[in-house]
Amino acid sequence: MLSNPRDIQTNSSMIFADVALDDSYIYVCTKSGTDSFKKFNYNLEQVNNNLTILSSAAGITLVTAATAVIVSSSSNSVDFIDVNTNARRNVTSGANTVYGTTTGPQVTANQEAGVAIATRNSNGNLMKITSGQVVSTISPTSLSGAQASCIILRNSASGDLQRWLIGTNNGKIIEIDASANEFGTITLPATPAISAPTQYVVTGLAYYDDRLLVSTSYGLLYLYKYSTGELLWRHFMLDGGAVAPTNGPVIASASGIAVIGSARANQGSSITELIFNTSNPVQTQFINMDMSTSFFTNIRLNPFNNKAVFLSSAASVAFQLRTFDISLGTSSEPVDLQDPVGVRVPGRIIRILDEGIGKSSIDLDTNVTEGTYPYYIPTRKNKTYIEIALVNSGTKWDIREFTS
Amino acid sequence: MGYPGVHKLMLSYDGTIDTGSLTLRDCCTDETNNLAIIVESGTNTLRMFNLSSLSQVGSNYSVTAAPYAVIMINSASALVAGSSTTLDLVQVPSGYKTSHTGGLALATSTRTQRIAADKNNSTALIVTNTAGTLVKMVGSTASVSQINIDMPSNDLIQSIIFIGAGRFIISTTSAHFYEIDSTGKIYKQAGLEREFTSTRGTNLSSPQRISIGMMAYNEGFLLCSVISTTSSPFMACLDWTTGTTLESYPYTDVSLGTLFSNVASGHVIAARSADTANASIHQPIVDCNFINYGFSVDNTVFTGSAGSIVSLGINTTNGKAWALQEVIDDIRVFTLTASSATTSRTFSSPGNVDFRLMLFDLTAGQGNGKRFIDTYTTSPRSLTVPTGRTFLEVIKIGTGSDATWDVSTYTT
Repeated sequence: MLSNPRDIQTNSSMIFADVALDDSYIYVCTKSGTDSFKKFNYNLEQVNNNLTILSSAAGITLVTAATAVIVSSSSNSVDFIDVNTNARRNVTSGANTVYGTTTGPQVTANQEAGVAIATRNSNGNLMKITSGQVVSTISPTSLSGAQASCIILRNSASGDLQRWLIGTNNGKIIEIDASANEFGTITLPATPAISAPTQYVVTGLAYYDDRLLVSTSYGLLYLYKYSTGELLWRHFMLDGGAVAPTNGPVIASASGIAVIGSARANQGSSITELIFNTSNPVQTQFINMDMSTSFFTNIRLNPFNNKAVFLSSAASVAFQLRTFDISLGTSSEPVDLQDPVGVRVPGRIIRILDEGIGKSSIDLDTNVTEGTYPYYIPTRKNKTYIEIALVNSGTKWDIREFTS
Repeated sequence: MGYPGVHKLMLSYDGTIDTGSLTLRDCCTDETNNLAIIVESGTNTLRMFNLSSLSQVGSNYSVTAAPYAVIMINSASALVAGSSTTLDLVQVPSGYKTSHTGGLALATSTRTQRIAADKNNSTALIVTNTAGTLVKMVGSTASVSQINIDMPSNDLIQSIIFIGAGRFIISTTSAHFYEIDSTGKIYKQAGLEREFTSTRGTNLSSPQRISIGMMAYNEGFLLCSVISTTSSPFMACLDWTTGTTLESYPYTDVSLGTLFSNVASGHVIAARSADTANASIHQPIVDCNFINYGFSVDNTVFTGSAGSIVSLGINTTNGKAWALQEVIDDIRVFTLTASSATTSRTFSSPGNVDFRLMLFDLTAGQGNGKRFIDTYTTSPRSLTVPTGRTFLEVIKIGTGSDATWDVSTYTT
């Protein structure tokens, strides 16, 4: 659950375009009025001097722990910022403008690889940005004729695969590595149709534990079992752009929790918190931010310090940056089946995530054997569960509630 | 897609009817004759179209001025209401019309359900601009009267639907619901809980008013669309037997909310109701399941056109569904096909006290179980469930350490 909101508000002409997070700091690139790089601690105190950067900043990411990359929607260049010394180097060779400013992350880095991949405002191409401060073009085959609209990392629970998931403006999600080798493509459903959808823009992506959540410019939300491409669930929450559907809900996620923000003005700007790596996607919270003409441009979650950061499209109302505390991560809970008391028996554990009446979901369904007690089963942090134990081939049962 | 092979409907596109009017206002279904009946305010006419042949039946029939709502009051006649105090009854499909005075001007809010009918009793109720007042028409006697609802004077009626057994539900501009009969007697009322928290912003000095736009009702579950100009609109599903809010999802739109059709097999056809300023959004039309397996979309039809959708409906006898698109004068016609057999099952608690009912479908195997129902209900409760499915049933009475439970598994 999101709690404890805190805001940054500066002069009304400044817009915070994007934000990158590490365990200690919030790194921001701003546009409109003053193009600058700002560094805040989580007490929201600015700890650097404003650093002038390229114009129309559209994305920021940490390509190494010490180096931020900033891309632009109007300048054919890329900034490299030493976040410790505030030193800046602008590179034009090989650089281009990015896709836009109304969809999800425009640049995302894998620090292990020392590589950031950015969208590029030309069909079929992406920008590859290295920690060596070299910018080049890569062209995945499946991106031909379309543009990337947002990019996230595909993190694997078993290790860092150093791959990216690319959302496109023609309704696809493509997995690539830093050399543009492809590892799969998901094409969003476009039928049945009276006329084929146009401007089918992927506006947000979230991936965790073989689950891929996709938001689109039509306000349609999709959940896939990624390894098989099976479409598990879809919804039509939120909305797309006011005239032509080029923007839409933006998503940030960590540990199977997605935070989804609306991307239209004059809509109150709601946030939905959704657990998506469970059998039924479960909405856990719905917040109205009362932002009037503003809407969300970016959201980031930090699972290491349980912080969520939201950026507003304008500062004249509400805020430019707002942080929340959010409960992320996992824990574990032991089970021990005895029948009668003192005699351990094998059985089946069905653990139901209980977010309230109407919002339950089977989070785990597993067998336990006699020799493994106490048996630790993963849980989400700070969640309420209903746990059912079935023994004797399901002829006997017990039940308990607990909060992890 | 959805939960494959299980209890869902398939939505396919049949074709488009060109109505010849760019000022389409409302549409209803004549299930007996398989007709979509529209009213349009360009020339103030009623027109009928066959949902299978996609062709017009009869002529353009003149009706009361500025007709904004139409409904089948019984199996033989459509009732038309508009900006005047005159109500028209039009026999279907002959088009023979009788006019009746004594009404009030139809409520001017758009994209809401302003007229509902109990066809078995040939009785319709109409939402007006007069606070707390509905117009009642009895088709069999052609009588028109006004009924007053015992409700706060500053709370306006927004929408009305018929839910069966002589009962209607009205919704209000303060997110309140009343279950009434055709005399206006109130049997039950509930308020929609605003689940979300308003955090610091610049508009907190204004009252956060939310209003109910559309409603759909099936087997004791009420789906509603909340509209608001100052706060995030959303959709919510309630268990009407206890008034418990189940799921809710944000749904931004320009103060007009989500449009729903009537219900068929627990599904509605839905769409954003964009106003003309945003008509260039190419509206997808979705087949939405709001009761079983959680609130989700089973099918999406991309329209690829900019016409704002103003009305949706389903012929529950043959699965023909339609969407009315103004500005481009079209009725889009679809077919809904059920994919699984169903049966009715009754659930109850000891002593018939209110209880939490959770059903999980375990048919797909261990690790693939999904929530089918999770609600707080009165007892006993009859619900439609798919056949051939293995369910885990959990019943909870009470809360906390005093709660009592029952668990069972079975195949339907």
